[in-house]
Amino acid sequence: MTLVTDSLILARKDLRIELRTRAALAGTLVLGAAALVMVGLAAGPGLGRLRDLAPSLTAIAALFASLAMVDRLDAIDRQNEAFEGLWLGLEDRRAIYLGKMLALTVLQSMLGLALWLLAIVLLDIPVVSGLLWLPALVVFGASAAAAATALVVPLVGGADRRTVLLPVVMLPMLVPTLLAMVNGSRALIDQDPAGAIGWTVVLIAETALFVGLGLLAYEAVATPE
Amino acid sequence: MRVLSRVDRSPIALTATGLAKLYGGTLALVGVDLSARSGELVLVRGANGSGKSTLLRLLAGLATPSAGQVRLTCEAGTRPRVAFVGHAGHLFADLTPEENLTLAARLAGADQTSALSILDRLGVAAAARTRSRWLSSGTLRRVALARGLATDPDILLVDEPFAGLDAEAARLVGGALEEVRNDGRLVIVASHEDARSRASADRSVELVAGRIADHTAAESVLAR
Repeated sequence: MTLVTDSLILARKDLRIELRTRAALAGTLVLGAAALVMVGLAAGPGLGRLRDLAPSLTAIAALFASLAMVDRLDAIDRQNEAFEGLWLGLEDRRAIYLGKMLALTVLQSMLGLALWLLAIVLLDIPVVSGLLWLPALVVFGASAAAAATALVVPLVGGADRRTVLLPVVMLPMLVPTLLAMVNGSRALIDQDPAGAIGWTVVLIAETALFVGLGLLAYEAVATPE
Repeated sequence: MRVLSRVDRSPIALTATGLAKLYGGTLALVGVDLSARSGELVLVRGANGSGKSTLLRLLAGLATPSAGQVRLTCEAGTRPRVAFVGHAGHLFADLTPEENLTLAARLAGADQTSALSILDRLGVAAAARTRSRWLSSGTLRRVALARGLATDPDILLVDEPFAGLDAEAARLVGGALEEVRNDGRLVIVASHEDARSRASADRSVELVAGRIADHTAAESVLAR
């Protein structure tokens, strides 16, 4: 119970700070929107072609924006070495991992939904009934990405070149999530709800796998030095 | 007014043997032995770079010794609560001192209602609802100490508690550390400000270039 309660307290702390500073969401939303527009422009003017590419474009824009978000959210704990204070005070230190994962899930879900809204408007994607499943797909995509990211960040935490290392280490881990997101959202646009549900289940399984790994390995990878 | 309210404490013993720490090719600490127990205020003296902060980090468990070990034993058989107040303060910059203290207390399972009274006792209650990033360095140091105290620690490790403080603030901090010791907790303070720190210490250890050069009872103990 302590693990869950402490995780929720820590997630609430991150969200409260984000609500106060808007450091992570505002900047990454602009970055994601810019990536969506730029890649769209690079793909060419044909609207039909852009609609076909919409799932990939949105997933890639969300992914790059998420990387920036992770760094900003992690900075909350790096500042004033606040992480060490948490490390010493907690009975179950895995709460730091779960708390960060929960906060990231909330923020990345908001980011993903905003980018999809933008994509629907910009790329003139027909709002079909299947898109009602989109929030679930986005939330579980965010939870899978967050569960992996919250484990990777402490691995590169102390590295001098963390801004380079973070995407290099994270991207391979996020490939399955990216594929599931792209295929799931394509199934939604193609009005194939069964396909979308299938890919959502894949994302839930990825979340469970990464959370399991995180709970097992976090204390070993995050020990301060 | 007391700094902390809890009084029934199980005795704690801290034993460090043969502690050494190597950073890259530099030896920060060599063969340090130290024993301390509840109700003691131990001063670790030394010039800048003598290894005081490294020793405190090793005792807190925030760094792994290259050699030797630190053993904490509690008569009740539970894991002693350790609070470390370092240079950085461990404060979330965009939370207020009150929020920082409440969060720390909540996570440590300590009493959250005493947060404001600890800030008051250290003379920083007026800053309780100001974001920590906007506070002066002297105020931050006291808030950082208050944060450590809010976790209701059995062992309090404080690095340079008087740095950047004016005379009144230093008096409040010194008084608070003595009260914490008198409450049956173990307090270990690292400082290069000899006179001010020695006044309240039970004994002192001097570090020179990472080695213990002197291990003496302080005047306050001799006077008793």
